[in-house]
Amino acid sequence: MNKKCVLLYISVMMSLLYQNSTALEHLNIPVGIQMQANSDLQWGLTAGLSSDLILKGHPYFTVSYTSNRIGARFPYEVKQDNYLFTLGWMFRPGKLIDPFINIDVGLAHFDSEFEEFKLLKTNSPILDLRFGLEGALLRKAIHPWCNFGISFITSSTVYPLVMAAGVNYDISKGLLR
Amino acid sequence: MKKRYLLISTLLITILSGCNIVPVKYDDTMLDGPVINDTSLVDPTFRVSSHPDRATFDRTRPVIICVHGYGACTYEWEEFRDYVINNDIPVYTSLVLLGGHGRDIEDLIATTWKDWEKPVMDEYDSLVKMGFININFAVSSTGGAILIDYLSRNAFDSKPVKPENIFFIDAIVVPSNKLMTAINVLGPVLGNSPSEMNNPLAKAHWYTNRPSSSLVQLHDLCDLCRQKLEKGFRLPDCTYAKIYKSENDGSVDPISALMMYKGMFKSDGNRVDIQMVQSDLHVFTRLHARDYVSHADSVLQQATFKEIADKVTD
Repeated sequence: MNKKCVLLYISVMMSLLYQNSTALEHLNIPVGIQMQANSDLQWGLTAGLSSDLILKGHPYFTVSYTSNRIGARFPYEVKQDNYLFTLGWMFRPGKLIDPFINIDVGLAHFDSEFEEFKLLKTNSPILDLRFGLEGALLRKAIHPWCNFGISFITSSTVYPLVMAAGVNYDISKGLLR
Repeated sequence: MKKRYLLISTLLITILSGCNIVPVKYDDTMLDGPVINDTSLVDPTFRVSSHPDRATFDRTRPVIICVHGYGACTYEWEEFRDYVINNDIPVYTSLVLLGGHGRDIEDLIATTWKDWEKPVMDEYDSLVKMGFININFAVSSTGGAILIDYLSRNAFDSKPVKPENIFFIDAIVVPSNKLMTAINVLGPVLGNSPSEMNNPLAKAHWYTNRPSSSLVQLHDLCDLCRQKLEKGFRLPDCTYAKIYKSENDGSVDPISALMMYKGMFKSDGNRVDIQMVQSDLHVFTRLHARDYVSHADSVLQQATFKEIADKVTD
């Protein structure tokens, strides 16, 4: 489901860009992979959108999905998934090093798996604030980033301190140019 | 502008210097102070190995080693001991005091979780040496984490007698208060996270102060247990285990029970028993020194005591 959503997002963005080449000049569409450390180590996908035409490219929007289902360190980990919607602000958009701040809202889920645990609260909200740095390399197509933040709502699988790192590929700057 | 820099500098220096903004305080009504200590320190009947009549004890009769949690003392299991005595159940109870516990708060500060768990294995070894052949555990909260540590490193495999039954009551792997997971960062700043206790009986049997150094130890033990459970391990041959867990526990997150259920297996590879219980209490088997106890709490406690006693004497 998540893979389908990402593919659909990429397809829509690519078709829009091909139809209107001027939009390409102003859109930033990073897609990438990330690693997140909170209650557990999770891996995931992220896709974002920002435009130079909106407040000079400072605000951006990202959706991401992370999970410990792939790349789990140990065999008997409780399986977790995080779904995040991010609203952020880049302080130096397009520059080599760009500090940013963002607010994440989303949903944390873990598998209770067994009938005995059916009454456990397996879904909980996520609300966190993060600060980070992003780089712009190779004609601004590759964006490595890292962030650190605090969760305002904690739960069984959401702890107060959160860290993440990843690398994005801006399809508007790379593949389509 | 200068004032702002001064404020930021002061804040940074305060954080980096690791000041204890919540100091340890106690009075003579608290377990933390020098006046009140755990009764087992002066009463040798609490442990079978130090009981004055131990020479006459029936070595074939089951012994249940009862282990309390962090900041508590043997009082946590006194109700179970009294239940066994009052109902003439042919079982000995041995109430073990964790290292660093039941004394002055400075003793807790000076110890690590390895010191806490040592008296548990010391008692087990003493019972084996005395010739007891049916040894069991009833462990609560951090007592459960200690057993997980012992079991995960096969600490009983080299013993001539393996534990018969292990009953986990609200064993901790993940705390309910997630700030504890950040104790390595927050601890040096806070210095101490005292619990709010109004009940005089509770003050006399639980530490009010929770020094950060001891919370770091608890966090380290929980973290280790979690990793061991995520890797998975098996119980000794023929050891039975049952996990009891309150569904609404203010101290231990119920996901702890799921982690234990997923990662702890019987020696034949099958899963251990589990019972999620409807309770709002942490260590629901202890009802004394509570501000409020419902009828359902009493029924649950008695039913659990009976189940443990029945299984051990089966």
